Amino acid sequence: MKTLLVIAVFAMLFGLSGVTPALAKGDTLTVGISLGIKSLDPHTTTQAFVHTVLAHINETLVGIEGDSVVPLLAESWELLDDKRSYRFTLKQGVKFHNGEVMTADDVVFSFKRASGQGAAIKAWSSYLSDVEKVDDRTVILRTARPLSDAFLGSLGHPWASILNKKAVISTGQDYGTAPVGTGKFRLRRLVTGDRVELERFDDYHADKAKVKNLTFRTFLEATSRTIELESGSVDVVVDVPPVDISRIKENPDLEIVAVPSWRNYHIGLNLKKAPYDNIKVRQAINLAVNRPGIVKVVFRGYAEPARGPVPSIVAYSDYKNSPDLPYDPEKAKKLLAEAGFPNGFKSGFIVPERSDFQNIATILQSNLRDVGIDLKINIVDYGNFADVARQPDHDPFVNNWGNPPTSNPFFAIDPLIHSKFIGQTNRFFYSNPKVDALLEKGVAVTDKAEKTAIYKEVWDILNVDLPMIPLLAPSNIFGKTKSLKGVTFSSSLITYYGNGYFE
Amino acid sequence: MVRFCLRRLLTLIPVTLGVTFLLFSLLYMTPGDPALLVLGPEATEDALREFRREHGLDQPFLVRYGRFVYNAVVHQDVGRSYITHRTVASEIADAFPVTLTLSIGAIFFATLMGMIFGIICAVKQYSIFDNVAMVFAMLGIATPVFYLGILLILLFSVHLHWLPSSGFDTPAQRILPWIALSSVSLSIITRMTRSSMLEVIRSDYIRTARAKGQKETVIIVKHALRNALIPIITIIGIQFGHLLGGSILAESVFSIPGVGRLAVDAIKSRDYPVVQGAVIYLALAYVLINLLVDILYTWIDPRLRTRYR
Repeated sequence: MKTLLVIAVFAMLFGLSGVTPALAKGDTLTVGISLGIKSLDPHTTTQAFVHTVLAHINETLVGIEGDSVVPLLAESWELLDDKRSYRFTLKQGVKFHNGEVMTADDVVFSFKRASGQGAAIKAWSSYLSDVEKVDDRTVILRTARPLSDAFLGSLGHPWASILNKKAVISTGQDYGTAPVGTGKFRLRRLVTGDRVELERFDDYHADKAKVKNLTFRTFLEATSRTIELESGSVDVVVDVPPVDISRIKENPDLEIVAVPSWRNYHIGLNLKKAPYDNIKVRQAINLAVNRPGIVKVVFRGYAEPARGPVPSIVAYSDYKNSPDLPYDPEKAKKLLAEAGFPNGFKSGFIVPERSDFQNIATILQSNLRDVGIDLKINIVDYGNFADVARQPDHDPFVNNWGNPPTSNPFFAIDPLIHSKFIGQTNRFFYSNPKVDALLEKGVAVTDKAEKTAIYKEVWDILNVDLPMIPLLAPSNIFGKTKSLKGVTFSSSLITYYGNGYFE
Repeated sequence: MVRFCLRRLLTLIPVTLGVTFLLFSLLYMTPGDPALLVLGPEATEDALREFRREHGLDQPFLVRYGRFVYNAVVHQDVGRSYITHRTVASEIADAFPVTLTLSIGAIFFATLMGMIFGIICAVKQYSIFDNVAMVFAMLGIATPVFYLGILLILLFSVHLHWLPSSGFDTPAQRILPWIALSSVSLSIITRMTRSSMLEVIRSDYIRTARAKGQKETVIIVKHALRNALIPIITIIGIQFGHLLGGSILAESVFSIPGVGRLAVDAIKSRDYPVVQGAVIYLALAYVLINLLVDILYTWIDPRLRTRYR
């Protein structure tokens, strides 16, 4: 009996998956993320962390460095005369993790799959109208209409990963657990929802990674991520909650990296519903919101108060140098009186269930109460929010827009305000033919100065029309050990850790 | 005995049907559109319609339920996850061993320590040990798992650096979750053992044993404990069921990828097939454990054995 017990205890301790061998420090870079990874198929999800992990396994035709597009799997490219065909010359001798050499067939196959049946990333892939193989190392991608740099830039996002045709076909529905790419790392082990262990790919076609292993571990609780960083079992964590920032800063081995993001927090108003159809009411709300207050209290200063309809980091916007939007409750009251609400009004207010939204909502509630608008907060489960905000009679809501493949206005603002997205992501039911025309012209133009001028006109109209009340853009906050170098932390939700090393 | 087991196993059929029907109704009434969650808010109406048709979400409630039962019974197929496209069975096959290891470890720890504490408390009633243990038992019942979990992490991981605060791969990673998850059961088992032992210790046959000069340890272990075991076993069985279903809190705090977390993630993303699969598995596990406990009774108590024959 006693021996049985001892055996049982040992079986439990060691049984499940064996003991992970201890690895020397410096060999393994461990990243703490906040979402459980369940599948590594770039086409079946829009979740940013899945794409973050995939960015290390797969590669795209072009890469993004800062604001510029750089060669990756394509050596060179050019926009043909019809302004909607991009001809790519592929790099030669690129090997997949299974030993296969990348060919034009893999590229054609990948893009067909990305826009085919069952793909969840059609919001990005549907602009592609055709993929054509010219010869073994030349491919032409065609868009339905001219999209100039917007489309090219989006090809740097993992949705446009080049997959190995043979591997995808042979694994079928289970491809998500056995991805094969050309990236610096290949998959060693996926523990669903818990961790993704990657190892260096030694046949990589350019400079190999400096670390041997790259592991992504999931910690749903923000506090757990901070603790793991403090105890040294992870080297970087994402989404440090503002309350933990000072704790990390006080630790001599750790530091905080904050990068301005293009996540656009806003109040969405329903222009079909009274009283929000009245422009004076919208302007009053815009004046009644205390943006610096929200930045200070909810984000502890780690956010940029909105100065226009898009965050200053969005391409072709120049809000970095604009003055702050005025906070003027008295004027707001006056505008409300002019609009026919001298005593204010009552309204529902939809808040997705997430602590930052809930905290912002509490402040907004008190800001707007000061001018006579009485908000009744209605907290909605995040899984239900998109559905609720689609309904034509929805109340105002607070939300953010933050997961486009690039900061190009085509992805950062079009989906929110172009009238063709009404019923999808244009939740304000905003329809302005002039704005639509400008947006369509803006994306097609290739000249930078002309482009900036067109978008400037869009921003000016939106500043007056105010279908959404812009609030702020928070920083992406990372916590890391000081010894980790070489990682450029991104403004998007996807940061590439493949160049990281320890010093 | 075999007939008894068979009869109990047959009750699994109505239980499973009942659980799935209830679950289907709840999921049906829950707001939130799986198509919109999988395809994202940018999805067009056409894409949404295509998704709903592909997964039969445009069908009436009873048709959906009927299809589910038909596929489950005839093809042993409970579907594929909307998100990962893997079969639900393989998703659960990944997660269930984790939850089982977590629960078994916790119930093992709770039983071992609970019975030892309970026996000592009963034998030394009203002693300091008894009083202190009873206060702790009260605290143990009253402290929520997630709170205790965070306290343990703060002490052992952050301040002392003795144990890792998350994961479930290595032995060291398993200690804190087991302790956190077992605290409520440990307290209940301690109290149950104590009261059950106190009852038995005052019986005539214990006095007889003492009178004939039997050794005290033999009296406690052989005469008293064996007779006090039935209610203790019952409570252990019930607790084990609770742990299996309720390990989600420990799984969240310690980032453990078990069935509970699988189910919660799936609920958040309205991944219906995975929710259904996870709940069915937990329900089956609960019923099977109760059956196991009933069989244990007859093994421990010969009187019951004759009754079932």
